[in-house]
Amino acid sequence: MNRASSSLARRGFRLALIAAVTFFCLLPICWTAAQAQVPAADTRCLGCHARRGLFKSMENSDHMSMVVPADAYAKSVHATTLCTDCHTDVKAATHLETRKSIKSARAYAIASGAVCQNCHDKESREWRSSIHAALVTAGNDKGPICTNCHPPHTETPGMSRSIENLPCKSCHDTIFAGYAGSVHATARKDDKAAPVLCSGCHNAHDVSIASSPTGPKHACLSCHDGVLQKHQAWLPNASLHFEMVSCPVCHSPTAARRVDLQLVEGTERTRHSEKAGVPTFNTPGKSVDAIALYNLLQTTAQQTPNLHAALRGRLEVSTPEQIHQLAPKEQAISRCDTCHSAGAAAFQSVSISVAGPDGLPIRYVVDKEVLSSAMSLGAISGFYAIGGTRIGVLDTLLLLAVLAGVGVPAAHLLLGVLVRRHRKRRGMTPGPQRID
Amino acid sequence: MHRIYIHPLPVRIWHWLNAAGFVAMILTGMQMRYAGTIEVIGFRTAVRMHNWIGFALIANYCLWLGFYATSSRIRCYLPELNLRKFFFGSVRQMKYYCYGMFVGEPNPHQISITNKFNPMQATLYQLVMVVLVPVQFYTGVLLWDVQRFAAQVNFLGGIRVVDTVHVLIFIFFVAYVLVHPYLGTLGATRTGQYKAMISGYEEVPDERK
Repeated sequence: MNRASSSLARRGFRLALIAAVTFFCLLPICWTAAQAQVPAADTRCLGCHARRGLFKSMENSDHMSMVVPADAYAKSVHATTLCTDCHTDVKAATHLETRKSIKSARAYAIASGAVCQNCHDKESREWRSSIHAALVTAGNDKGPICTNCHPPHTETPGMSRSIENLPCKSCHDTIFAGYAGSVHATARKDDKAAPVLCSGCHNAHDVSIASSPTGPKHACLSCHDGVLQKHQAWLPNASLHFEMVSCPVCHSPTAARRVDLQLVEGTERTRHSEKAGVPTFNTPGKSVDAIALYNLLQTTAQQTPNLHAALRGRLEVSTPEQIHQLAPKEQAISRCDTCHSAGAAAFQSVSISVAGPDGLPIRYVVDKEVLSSAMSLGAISGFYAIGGTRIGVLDTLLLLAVLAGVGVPAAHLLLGVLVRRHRKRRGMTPGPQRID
Repeated sequence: MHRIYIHPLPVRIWHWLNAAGFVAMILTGMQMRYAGTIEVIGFRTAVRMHNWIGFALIANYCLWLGFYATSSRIRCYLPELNLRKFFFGSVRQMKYYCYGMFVGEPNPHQISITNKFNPMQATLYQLVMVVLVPVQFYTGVLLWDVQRFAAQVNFLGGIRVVDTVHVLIFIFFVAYVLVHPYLGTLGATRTGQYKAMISGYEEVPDERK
């Protein structure tokens, strides 16, 4: 009886062992049967890389996950692409024996991301001219490459064009919060208008910075057709306003505004580029004043007279978050004295911007008094808002002119009275009284 | 007293249109410059009025220029370029305004059709009509459409420079329109020069004939 039960247990153990071995041997085949759209050659890769917990240690002691979520991958846009189409350095015969040393996950992503252009040549070329590429080139660890926005193993069709999954918000979350309440976002939710996502204004791959002179305004006008003519119907010098004032200044009515004085040079009026470690202004803890502005332009003109350095003023919204809080047009600012009046909020904040080594603007805080200083007459000759940035000393002159205009006749009349009284006191003929 | 036809009809029309226009330009200019502090017609309306009246004044100036350019009366605006004569003439005239006129002395300047301004008036009106008014019109047109005239604005030093010149001349004209009506009362009689600018005839004392 005991021998019989012992034999039965051994037989059961053998059966379980055979079943387990069979299961693991047949796993790739089962996987292939379940996920028919994944090429057969990739099932071998997924056999290992679909398992949880697979990671690789980097030289910088980080651990990079090597897991490809099988279900998500099967539904991704790359499901029918062979793993080795992208991972061209992997050879099936030697993969398991090869132990490559990788500096960091970031370095691996940048190096392996170059393969994207094999299929996505147009997008890759566009990306190379983007501010994102400039960040990467400048060595910024957060500069986005293809895989930051488009996770290669889980990207599904239309995923990066859906507001819920916009890749932009993973880095620009505060800006996205501002955008989420804007007319662009809410109109889309209400199905009142076509979607206006980040890429609608900033482009999907050749991403341009918001403060680019040729950036957002052109983006606005490319959709809002005939908007200049509509403004000309009620706004004096509408075209000049379009040049000097960014759209969100009026269309993001609760936003804080500032005057940005862009230091430009050359005949193309390109923004001055600041070299790394050589600040344009060296006034730590102090704002740039009218004398510093004057000195900057004078020194530049003397040292490089052909550079034609100048300050080009532009009114814009202070923070990226507020730029994106665009309101319905009924709420846009249309009162002229919002800006064209003394002490207008728009002129309480002033900055000078130059292009940093990475292409992003570097701003220096400027004393707001430069806008009303006679000293900066030549320095910021290109920016002026009637009433808002008027030169203070001219107000004093006007007051003196009014006093002179009233005082001269009064003084002359008084002089006549005094002369006649004097002659009368001396017993002289006082002179004829002038009549009509 | 006798009468001289001193102000022909085109000059009188120009003068009163110019006077009304300049007052309107100063008021609308004040509204624009001090929007927020002064709220009478609003900034936008002030800008529109300032532009339209400005162009009307330019047309009016052309009327004045056309009349004088085709008339011998232009001599009263041509500088004599005799500094000694101008200096002593101005001193005599100033002495008259500050003392002589109060004691019944005759006006040292004898008015005539081609010499209607005394040395001080001649200097002032030459400066106003040949320099300040044209410069004010020119800078005003540049400011009316900065983009259209961007090359000229930049050549002159930028919008802020052009605007400052415009405002400086505006300040001068503010004082001018306050003083000018009073100076108009300093003729042979208080209202003589006003009547002359309406009828064209100015009454001149016989002894100065």
